[in-house]
Amino acid sequence: MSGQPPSAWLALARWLIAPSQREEAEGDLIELWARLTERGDRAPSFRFWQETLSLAIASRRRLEEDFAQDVRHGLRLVRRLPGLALAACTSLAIGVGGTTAAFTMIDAALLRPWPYPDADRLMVVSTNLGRYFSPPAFRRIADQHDGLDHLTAVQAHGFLMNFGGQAVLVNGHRVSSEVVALLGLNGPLPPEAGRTFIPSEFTPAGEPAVAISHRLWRSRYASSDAVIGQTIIADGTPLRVVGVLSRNFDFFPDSDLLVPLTFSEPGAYSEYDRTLEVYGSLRPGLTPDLAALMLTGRTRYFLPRQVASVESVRERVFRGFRPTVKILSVVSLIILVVGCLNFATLLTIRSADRRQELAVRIAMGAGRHRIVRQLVTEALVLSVVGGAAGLLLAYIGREVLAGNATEGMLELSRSLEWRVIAFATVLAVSTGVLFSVGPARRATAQLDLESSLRNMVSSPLAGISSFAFRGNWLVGSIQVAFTMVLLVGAALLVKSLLRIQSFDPGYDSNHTVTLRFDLPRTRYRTDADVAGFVERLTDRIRAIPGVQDAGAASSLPFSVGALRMRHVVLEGPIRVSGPQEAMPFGWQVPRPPPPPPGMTDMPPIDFVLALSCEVDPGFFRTMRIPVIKGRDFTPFDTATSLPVILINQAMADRYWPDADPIGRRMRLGPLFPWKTIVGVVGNIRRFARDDEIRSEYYEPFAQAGDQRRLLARLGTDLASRGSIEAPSSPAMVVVRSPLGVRAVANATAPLVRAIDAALPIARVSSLREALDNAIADRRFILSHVVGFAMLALFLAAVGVYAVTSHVVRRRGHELGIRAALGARGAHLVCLAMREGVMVAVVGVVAGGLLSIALTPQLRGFLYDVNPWDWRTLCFVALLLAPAVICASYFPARRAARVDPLTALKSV
Amino acid sequence: MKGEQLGAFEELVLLAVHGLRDEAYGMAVREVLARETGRSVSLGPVYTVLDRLEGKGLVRSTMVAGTPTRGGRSRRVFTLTAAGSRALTSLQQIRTRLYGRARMVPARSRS
Repeated sequence: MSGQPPSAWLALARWLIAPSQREEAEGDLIELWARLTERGDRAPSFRFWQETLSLAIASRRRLEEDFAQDVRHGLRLVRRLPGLALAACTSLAIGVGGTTAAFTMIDAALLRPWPYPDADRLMVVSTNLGRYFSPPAFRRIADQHDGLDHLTAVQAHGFLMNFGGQAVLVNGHRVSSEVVALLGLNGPLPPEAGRTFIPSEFTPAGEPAVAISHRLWRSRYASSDAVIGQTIIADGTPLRVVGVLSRNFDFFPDSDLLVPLTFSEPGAYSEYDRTLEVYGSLRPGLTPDLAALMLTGRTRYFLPRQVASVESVRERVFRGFRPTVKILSVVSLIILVVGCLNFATLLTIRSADRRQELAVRIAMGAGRHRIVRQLVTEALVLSVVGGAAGLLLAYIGREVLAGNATEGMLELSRSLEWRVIAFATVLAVSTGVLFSVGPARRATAQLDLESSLRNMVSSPLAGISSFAFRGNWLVGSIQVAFTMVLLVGAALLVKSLLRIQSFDPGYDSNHTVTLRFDLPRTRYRTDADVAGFVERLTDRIRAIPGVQDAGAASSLPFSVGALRMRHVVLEGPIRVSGPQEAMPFGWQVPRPPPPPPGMTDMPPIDFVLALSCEVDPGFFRTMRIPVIKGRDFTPFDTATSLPVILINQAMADRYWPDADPIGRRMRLGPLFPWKTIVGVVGNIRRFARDDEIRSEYYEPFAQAGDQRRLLARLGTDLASRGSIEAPSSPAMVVVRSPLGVRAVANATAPLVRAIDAALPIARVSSLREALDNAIADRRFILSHVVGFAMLALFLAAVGVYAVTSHVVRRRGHELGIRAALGARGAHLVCLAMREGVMVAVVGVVAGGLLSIALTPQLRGFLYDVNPWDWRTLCFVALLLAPAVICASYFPARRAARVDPLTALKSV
Repeated sequence: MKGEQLGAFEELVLLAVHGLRDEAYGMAVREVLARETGRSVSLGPVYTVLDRLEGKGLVRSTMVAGTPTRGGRSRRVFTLTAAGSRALTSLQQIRTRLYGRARMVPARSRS
């Protein structure tokens, strides 16, 4: 057995050994094999592999040493050409930073796993009547469900508590018994202290219990275990603290109390009390649609024509974020591409500037492979520095983003996790490698040794391979095009934001302060109680110096409150103009609500849909909503006087298009009293700036509550109906004053205490703030796109500047000859700028086309602006092209100023 | 970096290169060392040391066309530099002196 080792062995050995040592090592192995076989060694294969491994290990070690050497070399170069290195690092940092900041949000919104058991099977049940169920409806589903496990009813509620003599409203949730299993309160999310609820606590006979959030435990009870077993008073009810929820439990954001929901006897609740959200865990093997069908079809839980739908909770959360996330990803991807292209351009320029150095090294015996590796390692050094800077940028950027984010986003964007750091690292390193291998290979492949070495002693005139630079100009154009897309998007968003901000909501939102109160039903039982509180408070507020006016309503535009969609009966013949009115939030009610318990077989009645809101006599005056016809409410519209209402212009136009609505009557149903329309007020926007205006009627606080009065007449005592009913009536006081939110709130607090010492102000805000919040997601996207557009513009300018100055430097000699031959300065500048102008023109045209293709994605965020707005396109083109041309002008001018003698002397 | 202390194995490799004259490449060095020391020597450490010696400027290498025994693969031949032969000379002198003293002063028996 002589000659060569098996070729497969050699191939494997080749693969194991570092490329630079392959040839030599292979030769050694062949020679070794020959000697071993010649000598008649007993185990030549063993020796062969022993040697192969030792060679492989040694070659890798040598590779490491080379790598360290390359890194050192790279750092030396950074020191020698700090400007270029800085530009490259900055480009990459901006690209990586922007993308990472966006990834942080995407990660938080979409990728982070939820801690609940079977989080993907966590479902929320809703119907075409809305998300909320009445206790009887929930009981019907929970008793015989077959598609969902652990059905849980949840009711959001603000609990009145007292800390250090101060009344505080604490957000919490009432939950039914299955919550423990559904959200894993015993399993994946065990309590921090104490225990979770036990079954007896969900029965009316059990001791009232409460679990507090980790946040509340920390802030109010100093994380002390002593709180377990203590009794706290919430809403005037003593509750025993049984445990502290896990710190990772945030299924109910901003919720600090979890209280068992106890259902007393089944007949005690009204079908009207739709305050319960229903969650459940989808049974394995079922789809949400199937579960919904089972709920709707197989059993009769619902009202006629009521259709259930089952949706993944995660899916519902994602749906809200999806448009934002989509735009965020596109925008950050663009910035990444622009940043990376810049990085690649700068590297190409650098390797072109180092042609002679590289040529010398090759001439001295360095392999091309080794040179490529060195260039890539240097790029890697730059990309690691850039990536680190990018991570820092992302960290800062995230703070900025979080500052602008809507509340839900804010919640999600607060942590820079290992996943994000890993993402940034991989991004930076892969960018570094990906975008440096190309330029490095090109630099060595095109290296014409002879001419490069000759140029060393002669001039840099010859040897410019135009290909590399044509590539750079192309890259420049691509960058300009992408920048254009971002700028167009930013401009469109700015334009629509300006339109929105100059929009008239129907009331004057300036110089207003809004105060929200939740009047507990235990103490404010009747409408007269609520009306009395509102009247006393607004009277006193009006007396504060600097306050112009004050009014109150059960709901204010763009904020939560008791705004109801109601079916009403209009008296007499009406001619409806326009189609059936849609319910807000996209749900439709084809039929009137079911009869109240005990009442059946109501005659068919033509109901119309209208929003209803309770207001006090000062409301329209304070809001500066005009009374168009008839009169405003007065203090004489009391519970005992003639029931009156005001309707909005839209309702008047809809039902009495050519008649006077004043004096017409309407009511909620046959058993309810008639109410006379005494005036028509202006329309206001309630939900969104671009929302349609709906029919709306207003009634005085003192006369509201027909339904409750009716139920009382039917013999149901509301006050003793257990814990299920919405336990408080909201009252929103609006104050018109130039004093500012804080001053008004401070002046009002003692007045509130004087009237009701146990009543906190639930929320202080302003109409302007509510309006601004309504467009927060637009503003969030806007700030993002504008910020990224500016960064892209900066990057593109840096790129074009770098390429122009490089080319001009290479052509300095030629320009010198031209100057010596009498070319004028302006002509030389033009000559040097020619490519820069070309980049600008090509980039802007391509960018325009790309924008036309991409901006329709923004449609959901635009208001009253066409995504293909040609004026915006022209505006951006006129902004961008000169900016790019400017970037090439400065190096061109510098080159044209070169003294011809100096340029020629360098020959 | 240059002119550092030489390790024992480095010294052996350097001597082998010196002894092999113009035929000092990895495999040859390995064979010489294995034969002279009677120990099994692997190629990997030999190359590691040769590279290190080159880094210290004690040897230099040139690529030489391959022979049929090597399947035509080229090999890297190492030759001693002036610094290399100086290092060997000084090492030899140190050794000679030390061995001389060792002979003059008889070793005491260990207790």
